[in-house]
This record gives sequence, C-alpha cells and structure tokens, in this order.
Amino acid sequence: MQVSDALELTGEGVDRGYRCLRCEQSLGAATENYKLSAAIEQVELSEGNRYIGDPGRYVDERMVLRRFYCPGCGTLLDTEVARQDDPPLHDIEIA
Amino acid sequence: MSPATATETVWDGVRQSYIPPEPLRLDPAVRLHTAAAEEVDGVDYEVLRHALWNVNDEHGVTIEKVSGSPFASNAHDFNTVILTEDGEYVFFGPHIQYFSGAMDMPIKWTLENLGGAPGIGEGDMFLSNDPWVGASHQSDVQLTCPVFWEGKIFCWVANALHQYDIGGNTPGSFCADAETVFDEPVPIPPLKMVEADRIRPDLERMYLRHSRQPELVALDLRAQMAGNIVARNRIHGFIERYGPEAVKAVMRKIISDGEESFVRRLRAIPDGTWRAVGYLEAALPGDRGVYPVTMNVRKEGEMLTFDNRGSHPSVGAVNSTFSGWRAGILCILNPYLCYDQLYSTGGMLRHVRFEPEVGTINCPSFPASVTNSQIGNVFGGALANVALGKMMLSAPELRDEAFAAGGGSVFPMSAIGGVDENGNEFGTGFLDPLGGAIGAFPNRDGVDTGGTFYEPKSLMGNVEQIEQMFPVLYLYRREQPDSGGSGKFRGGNGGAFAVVPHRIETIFHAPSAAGCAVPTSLGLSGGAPACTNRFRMLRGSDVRHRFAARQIPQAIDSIDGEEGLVEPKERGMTQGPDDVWEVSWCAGGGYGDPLEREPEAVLADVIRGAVSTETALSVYGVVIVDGDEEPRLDAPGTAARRDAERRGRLERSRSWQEIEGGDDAGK
Repeated sequence: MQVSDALELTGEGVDRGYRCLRCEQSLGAATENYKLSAAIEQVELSEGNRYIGDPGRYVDERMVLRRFYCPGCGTLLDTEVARQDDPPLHDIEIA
Repeated sequence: MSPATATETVWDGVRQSYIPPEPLRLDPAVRLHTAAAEEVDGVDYEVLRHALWNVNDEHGVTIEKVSGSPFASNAHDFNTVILTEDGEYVFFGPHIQYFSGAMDMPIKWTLENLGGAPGIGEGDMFLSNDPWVGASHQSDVQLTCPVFWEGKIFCWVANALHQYDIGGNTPGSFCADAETVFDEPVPIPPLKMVEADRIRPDLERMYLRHSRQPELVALDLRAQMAGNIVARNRIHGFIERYGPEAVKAVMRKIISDGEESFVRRLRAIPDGTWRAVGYLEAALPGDRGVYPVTMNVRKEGEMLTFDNRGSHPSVGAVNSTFSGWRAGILCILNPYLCYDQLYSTGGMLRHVRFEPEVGTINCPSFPASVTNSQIGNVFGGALANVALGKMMLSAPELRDEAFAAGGGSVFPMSAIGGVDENGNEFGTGFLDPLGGAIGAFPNRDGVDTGGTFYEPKSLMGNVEQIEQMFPVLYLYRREQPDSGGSGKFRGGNGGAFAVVPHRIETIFHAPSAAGCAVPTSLGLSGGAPACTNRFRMLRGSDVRHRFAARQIPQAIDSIDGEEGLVEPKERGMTQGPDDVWEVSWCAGGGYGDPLEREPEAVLADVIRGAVSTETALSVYGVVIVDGDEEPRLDAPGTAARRDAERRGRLERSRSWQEIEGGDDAGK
C-alpha cells in the first residue's frame, strides 16, 4: 500500500513494514515511526525557503527544519518543522 | 457530538464551549415542522437543490448591496447558511467557510435556551457573537432567522458578517494585547434582536454602544436582516409552489446524499491515525514564546475523529474556541471529501466526531482571550489540511485530491486607523492576503495567489476602491517569486503589498498575526514549507522624492530608509508620511522531493519569473544557462548536480539516535 509519494507499506503480520518506493530500502516496522529509520538532516528553518528569515528575530526557542531521506537512495521522504528537542512526529499509523 | 472528555465537562457555552447534546433538549413551546414526503421526483429534486443553493448566493448578494462595507462588498468577509428545523446543515454559502461552520451551534443553543422565553416566533431573528456558544470570533456577528410555516419552524437561514468595530481595547476589534475576554468586544450569546420583523430599539442601542463606528454596524445589521428576509421569502416561495413536505424531503435528501458521498470516500481509506503539528508565536505583543498546535485525525470504519491532544494550554491572545477549531476543520473536510455536494455538510457531520481537550489553545475556557480566533480557526484548518492530506495519500482513488497547506494558513491581519483628510475617523483591515496561494498536489503544482481554502470566492479587495475609501496609496501589490514551498510539484506563490499614507500625517497600526517566525503552510511528502508572514516598516524613506521623479517603487528593498523589527503583534505603532508599510503573506506548501521535479517545469518557472535562477540551482538542482539569450537547460549539468546532491544528503545526515545523543553538529 502506497502511503506517501515515496513510501509504501508492505508485508503481513510481524513482517509488515515501511519501504522506499524508489529503492525498496526497509524503513522499519509498520508499528514504528518510519522517520526513526530515515537519514535525517536537521537544518536552520531559514533553509526551508528564501523568505523564511531567522526565527530568532521573534522567538527564543530554536526551531529547525528536518529532512527525512531514504538511507538507501537519498530520496526526500518528508519534511518537518519542529522545536529542536522534539522527537520526530509519528504522523502515520495505519491499522 | 459526544466527546470522550464530555463526561467530566459541562459543555454549556458558559465556562466551556457549547456542544449540543443529541437529541436537543427542546422547550415544549418549540414546535418543529418535521413532515417530509417519502419520495421526491428526480427533476424536482435537482431544481430545488440548486434553487436552495442559489438562495445562499442571493442572500450573500443582498448583504453586499445593502451593507456596502469594504468587508462585505470588496472582500466577501461573510457567509450565509441554510439549516433544517433542528439546526442540521443543508448548505453552506460560498464565502468564508469557517463562518458557516460555527453557525449551527447558536441555532441549537437558541432552540434549547430561548424556546420558552423570550420564545422563538415568526419574524424573529437572533443576534450572537459568543465564541463559547459558537462563533468564529466576536467581530463575526451572526444573525439567525427561523423560517416558519403554518406556525412551526420549517428551517433556518442565517448569516455572519465581519464588523468594522464591535468594541474592545483596539480600534477594529483585533485586540492583540488582550489577556482575557474582558479586554475584548463583549461576547453576546443569542438574543432576540429582531422581533416580528422589527429591530428592537432597546437592544440595538446597547449593541451599537459597544462600537466606535455605530452607524456602520447599524447598517450592517440591516444588511444581515435584509439577507435573511430575502432567503426566507425565497424558501416560502418554494413551499408555496412545491409544498412543504416536498421541500423538506429535498432538504433531507441533500443531507443524505452528502452523507452517502462522504461515506463512500471514507471506505476507500484504510483505518489509521494521521497527525500534524504546527507552531504559533507571539501570544501577546513582545512575547517570544512558541506554542505547539496539534491536529490528530483517526479513521475507523465510517467515522472520522478529530482531537487536539498535544496542543499547548491556552495562552495570551492566540486562542480559538471549540466552535472555531471545529469550523476550521470543516473548511477543509468540505473540499477534500465532500467537494461535489455544493457545500452540504450535514450528512458528513453525521460521521465526524470531535474530542477537544479542555483548556488548550484551541479549546480554551472562559474568560480566555479569543478575539484573535481567526488565527487559530484558520491554522487549525491548515493543520487538518496536512493531516487529512497524509490520510488521503493512502487511498489510491483519493490520492490526487490531496494537497499541501496553502496561503492564508495564518492570516496576517494588518489593521489601521486614524483620522482622514476630511477629519473623519477611519479604520479598516487590509484583506489583500486573501489572495493566498494553493498548495501543491501529488500530480500538479499549486496555484500562485490562488486564494485560500476557506473562501472559495476569495476577493482581495479592489485597490482603487480601497484608496478611494481610506487615506492610503498603494505602491504595489504583487506576487512573490520563490515564496511557494519547493517540491516535485511546487506550492503556489504568495504575494505582498505596500502602502504609504495619502494626504495625512499619521496612520495608526495594530498588526496581529502569527506565522512570522515559524512557517505555517506545511508541505506534504517531502515538499518544503512555504514562506512565512511578514510585516515591515521602512522609516524616513525617499518615497516622496521617488514620486516627484515619476517613479513608483515596486519592492521595499529598492527603497532607501531605516528598517526596524516589526513584531507579529504590535500596539501603538504609527506610520508617518515618509514611512512605507509592507505586508507579505505565507504561500502554498510543496509536494514531494524537489530533485524529482521535471527540469523543464523549473525552466518554465524561471522564464515566467515564478522561481529565481538561484533557487532553480540550489533547491531543484537544475542548471540553467542564463546569458544574453533565452534561458535554457543544461541537461548533463542538471543530472550531475542532482546526483551529487543525493550523495550529499546522505553525507550530511544522521540517525535520530545520533541527533538525540546530543551531537551538536547533528543539531
């Protein structure tokens, strides 16, 4: 089952898990957050768009942009705006 | 609705929001017209279905014509609605969707609380703007009207219209520094403002006493009343022609058709839970905090359940009540899963549950500050947009209808006031950011300044009319290249506008926004977030010299002057005759990996000025030769650049364990 542009859910039972649609790299069990199996680049928020300035102008907390890549082929699977110390959002849980 | 948390909470619209029970606790004096024909002729159904749809449209046109206010006429900052006798939605109107999404609650509250005294009679209309009973915020004043037939309530028509000024500590009523509702416009639970088709003068005097511009509010009240009367008369006409039971049967079928369509789409989606988190800042002027807002959606069988667990406790002036949170969700559920039902949401709502957590930024308890609810209402919708978009990507037949969050995910309200060249007080808010942008889809780009998801008939206001009514001169209103989120499909670009005072010395500003520090238009499947909102003030500029030289500057960065930081919320800020005020608004998020975007599409964007050559190279990895000739692709250079970037990504990345372990380089 395709669950996003470059991510699919395959297998049955305990073997059910996420996989990269481009290179078939495994990205963890279906019950887990696939982002924890991804290669993560955590950068300044301002790298997200040329018109996103330094959040430090307005807020004290450090905000980051996370890019989650397939560790096999480097395809960008998802992006996330977060406070630096927040864990990656477990955003997809398919029953 | 029966939220899980309802067992310990009294949802009566007093300290906590009103959540209507099922069934309603009606006063015995309330008589509802429930009879409906068992069958309805197919042709009659389609004729009446579209006729009822047009009632909402004509209702809106009436408000525009009678009001004449820039909010009503230039920006359609209102909406209309038709509901059944017991307050179930038949049709939303085509304007601001979250206005309609909050209007069933005051009607149900009225049926429960006013049926006995003062009573609900023919020709009565009920005015309200209490966000705990059900309103988008106090400025969006509702007027609800029961439509009677043979002594019974046959159905309801209603509208909500944004008022110039309805009170509170700030002209225009966007009270950026309100710490509680007592600093804000008075929230009014439903009261009988119109009795037997006549405005009650005692209540009107009390109502207008709240406003700095009572004559305009009085005119708007009459516009709202006129709209209801037109809609009511149209429905009476249908009843006379087709019979009450046929008209009611059509209303029932509109709802059940919507329900069937919604459930059919739900069946295509696997069961699961999807989440989105965003951040608001500037709870009050000078505040430097960041506040998470969470949207969780769970799909189980034929039911969708939304909750806000994980959202920050209510804080400062960025809260929105339950009715606004719910209305924001409906704004996006409608185009996503009910788009072919002409904004009929009643059937859909039979399969949607809301489980708000009390005391949060999107379900605050009285007396929290809520007059800036427009921020949270819309942002809640934008987060639902992302969570539902992720959900729809798992359903092959719905995948291509998902889209990233769009422009207007937080509306940057730029409110101004002062005294014009004729000595008259003026006040308004710039609605240019309704130009918005549409986020990217899985199979196509978003739309540059394509409007907002919460107003299908978006209007930005006509610049010439705005200049005619208010003492401002526009330097420009334009699209902002590169502002949309990058991706395999690009988010639509947003825009910016700049004004200077015209023939006056001072304009008072009270900007109120969020989404200036942290982007609120999030991408999908690797698409990047779009730009942030931004307010800018350039002091002591050379703009008047530029005018004398017959130049009209087209970018604030091309103007000489001193720029200081403008916070997302400010009080007491002024603009002098040489100062330039610019507002730029958030654009649409992107979809997918930008390295997978067709190089030809990037080239086309560069040629038409939507994307810069620098962004084409640094974000999309597309090498464009841009010399004296027409820009062209360097295909081998692009392939090499993209291969190198994919390797670079993995070299720069770390696992979460490494990042969490405190490796500074990873953070």
